[in-house]
Amino acid sequence: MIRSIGLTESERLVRETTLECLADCADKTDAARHAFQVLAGLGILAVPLAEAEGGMGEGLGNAALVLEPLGHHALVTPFIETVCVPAAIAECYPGFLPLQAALQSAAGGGAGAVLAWMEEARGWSRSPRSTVARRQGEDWLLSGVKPLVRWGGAAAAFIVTAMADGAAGLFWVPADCRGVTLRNHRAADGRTLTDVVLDDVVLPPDSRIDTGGGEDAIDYALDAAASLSMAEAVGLMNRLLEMTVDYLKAREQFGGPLSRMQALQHRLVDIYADVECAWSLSHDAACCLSRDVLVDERRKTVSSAKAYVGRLGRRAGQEALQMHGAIGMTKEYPLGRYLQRLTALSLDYGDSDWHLGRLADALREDAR
Amino acid sequence: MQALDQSLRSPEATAFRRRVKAFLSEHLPDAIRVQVEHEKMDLSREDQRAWHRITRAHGLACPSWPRSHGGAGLGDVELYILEREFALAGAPRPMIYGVNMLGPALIAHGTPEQKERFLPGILEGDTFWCQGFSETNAGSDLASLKCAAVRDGDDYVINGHKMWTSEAHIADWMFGIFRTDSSGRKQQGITFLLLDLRSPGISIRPIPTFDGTGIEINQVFFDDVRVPASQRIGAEGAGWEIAKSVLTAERFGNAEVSRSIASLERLKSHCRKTCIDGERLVDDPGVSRRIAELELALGAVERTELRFLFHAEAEMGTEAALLKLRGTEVQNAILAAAADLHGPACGIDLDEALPADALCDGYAAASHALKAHMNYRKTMIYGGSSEVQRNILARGVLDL
Repeated sequence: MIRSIGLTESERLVRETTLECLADCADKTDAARHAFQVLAGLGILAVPLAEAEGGMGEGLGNAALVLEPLGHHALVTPFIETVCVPAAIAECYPGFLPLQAALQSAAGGGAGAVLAWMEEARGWSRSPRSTVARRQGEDWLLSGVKPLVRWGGAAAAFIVTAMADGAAGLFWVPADCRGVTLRNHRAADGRTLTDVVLDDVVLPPDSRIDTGGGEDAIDYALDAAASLSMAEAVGLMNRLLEMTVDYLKAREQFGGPLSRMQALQHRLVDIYADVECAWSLSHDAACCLSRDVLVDERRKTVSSAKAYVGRLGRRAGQEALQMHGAIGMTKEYPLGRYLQRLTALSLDYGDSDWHLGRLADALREDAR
Repeated sequence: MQALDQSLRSPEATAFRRRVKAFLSEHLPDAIRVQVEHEKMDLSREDQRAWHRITRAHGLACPSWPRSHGGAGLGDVELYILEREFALAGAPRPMIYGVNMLGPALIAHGTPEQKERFLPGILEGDTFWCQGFSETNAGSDLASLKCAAVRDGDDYVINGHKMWTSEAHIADWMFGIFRTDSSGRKQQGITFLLLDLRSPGISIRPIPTFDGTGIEINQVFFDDVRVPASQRIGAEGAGWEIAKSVLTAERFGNAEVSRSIASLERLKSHCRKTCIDGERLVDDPGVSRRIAELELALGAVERTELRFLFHAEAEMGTEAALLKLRGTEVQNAILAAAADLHGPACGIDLDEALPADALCDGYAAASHALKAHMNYRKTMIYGGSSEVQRNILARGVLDL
């Protein structure tokens, strides 16, 4: 449906290659896991990394070239959590070697590190409060609970945010550390979510990733996740639109195809207009993922995309379901997976209201 | 990935933007700017002409026309920048019927004699044009038009009427489409003619609108009006295609993105300056959130327009309908918010002169806000209503 995708030749090649090889994976059993390994084998998971690490070297935003196709096929993978978010943190702290190693492993389809940042009853607040790192001699002593860590079940290590010396810190915590307890849950869209309980975990001095205040790095990494999740959402929306157009053309009622009904045509057009707008905003949000972009500009661009695409993605999913009718409610028909994933993406890393609030705060701040 | 506005950031583009800004800050008359800042869309004939002549004197009139026809010959990037900067500075729209609509159609379809006869009047701002398309029973369904032009020797003789004709009451000439044959498909048998509004047999009835902006639209009656065949553009029966090209020539501009950015900036400025119970409007979380929502919705259209304009892999034709659809929706949401946020004074009638004091300044601003909110509902109706745009997208993009 989208004829003008706004990509360069090399970017388009990555996108098309990814789309093609995912099309071959989509029918396999355990398709998402299979697809993740196929992409790893082709080096596609490394796309957002530096050239020296097998990537395109054009910045984190290029991960969108992989995520939009993943959305197109509704394949739910840990790509954002194990590759993109750690890559964002590694961009801020390039000297922290365990992170680089984990990133290489994750881009190759193996276990990686994931960011453990949420806290109980804190909503989408990004700064750590109840997780605390205290000094014990040379070491750090880490305590707190990090609930529902995305894709935490198979992680080799956690990047844990915690208050340390009065500032936000980032700590490297291998999953098998003494004092770390994991409890896995399964999410409606197929991810594993893990409660990470840290009970006086003793960490050596070099476990601290940040260099005295990781607030900005946390913000950057979570902006990357929010931004890139919307690239996946756009893929899901676009495919849902195609699916619904095709269905209404084929479905005959009242003596003709439902697609002849103007009431339905106009609703389809509204989804189409949303997809085009969502495509533009998610493109912008991918472009601004660079340490060179001014922080205020990045926040505004990412929150715009997350607030808008998140909300409209869900609306598209709900409208698609409504126009399909009962068939859309069945587990067998693929639509439900698209709606589940769009809903999860719209909530994760700050829902639309949270990001709108951030935009409104910035407006008030600007007016000072 | 490459930013959608990459091409607007080149050194050439930046230099051009600086030049336009400098021109505007030096030459835009305050008396005109103030009207535009009150969202007045149709300025008086005198003001339109005065502004046109200023732009003409600085080589910025008829910006999209090729230089060979006296235009500024600007490329897409420069046109985009020009439109944006004009809107942000509070400059009026161009004399659209001549400059944006008829001019390009004449350049594309006119004979050398027709170009020589009609282009200079537009270029110099001497001739005021209006557009005779709609009729009472041919609005959204434009091709159903009936106003008849019958060939008689070297002339066409026109009988019937045109409806909702903007600016006919101040125009000198009309370009329009007329029925020359009703035997085939309704899109066939339509002919594009230019006619002098002083011709015998023409009467113009202004139609007051409810919004308080005065006269903008008219009904034009034709009673045996003779039009020389030399004033026909294109072949007899080829008028529908020319009319469509006239309507789509402005398909990007009629999303009104630049105007809406300017309106939203004015609204933000109002919210920074205005206090309710001692608190600035902008500091009210409900207000700042509402503005954030508007910025978001406008940004979505703005970025999509950029993508269509500067990153199109194929000629973007039909898709542009969504820009008009969404752009005018956002525009109306902005102007509705402006009316709300001007508070209790909204609705005061400005036809009666107000005393010039600080209290009444506030009344005037509120009154203009409500008037704009009402008046601009038309942007979702004219030029193909939102429903027509949805029909176009349903057929042309979704292939329904």
